[in-house]
Amino acid sequence: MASKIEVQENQLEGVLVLVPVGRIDSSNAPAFEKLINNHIDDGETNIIVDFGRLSFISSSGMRVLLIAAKSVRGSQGGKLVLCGMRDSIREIFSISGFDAIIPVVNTRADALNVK
Amino acid sequence: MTATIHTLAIPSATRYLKDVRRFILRHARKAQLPDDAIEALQLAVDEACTNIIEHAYGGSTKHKVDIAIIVDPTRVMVRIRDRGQPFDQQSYIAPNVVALTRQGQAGGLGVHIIRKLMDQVEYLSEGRTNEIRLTKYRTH
Repeated sequence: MASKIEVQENQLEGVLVLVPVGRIDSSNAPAFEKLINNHIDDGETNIIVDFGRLSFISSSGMRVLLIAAKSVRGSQGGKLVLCGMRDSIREIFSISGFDAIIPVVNTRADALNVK
Repeated sequence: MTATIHTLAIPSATRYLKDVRRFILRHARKAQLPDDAIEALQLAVDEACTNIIEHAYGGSTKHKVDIAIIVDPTRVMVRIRDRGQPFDQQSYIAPNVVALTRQGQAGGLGVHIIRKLMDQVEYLSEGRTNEIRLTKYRTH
């Protein structure tokens, strides 16, 4: 049985901001994927994922973000931007090459400015 | 030169991964490994256990994963054993993330992350038992 995930949701200048809390590993990545997919299905094309309250993410969670980024990019002018990462998580995104595909910035304000 | 060993056995289900990470955190802290090395070890062990649960055991939760953390003055090594399908490291190809994005998948990424984070990664097989050894050396 898949585990649950806590994700806080805000709007910032019309952009959906998701704030996952705690951890995303292979046990709760399916719940995270379902939540993001529901938003995309509801028509959200611009999404910021704020890592400020995330202490751990494994490749299962990164895979969810990769697929979501691809999905919103397929929509007209959509984008998914990541912000607020602690250094250790940012390093994982760097060594995996993910930061070359999904924009990673410092703050939500920076995320809004990503073209 | 003395070594200490602590062991943990979990059922082959991903809901126990948080217990594994807590186990690694506790003993790696006691071993006075730096914080960045502890986080790397936690992630590498999580990825290795996920691969065992999802691939070696094919998602079946009826099996067991044995984890041991071995601490000595030069290194911290985590040994993980299973009795599922062995990992074929000969046919492993490091993933091309750009290509994976196009395909909408990211399989193989866990192994890539493990190799990048660890100082040494070894795969062994004896009889039906598979073993992966993940090592972080101490830097003085």
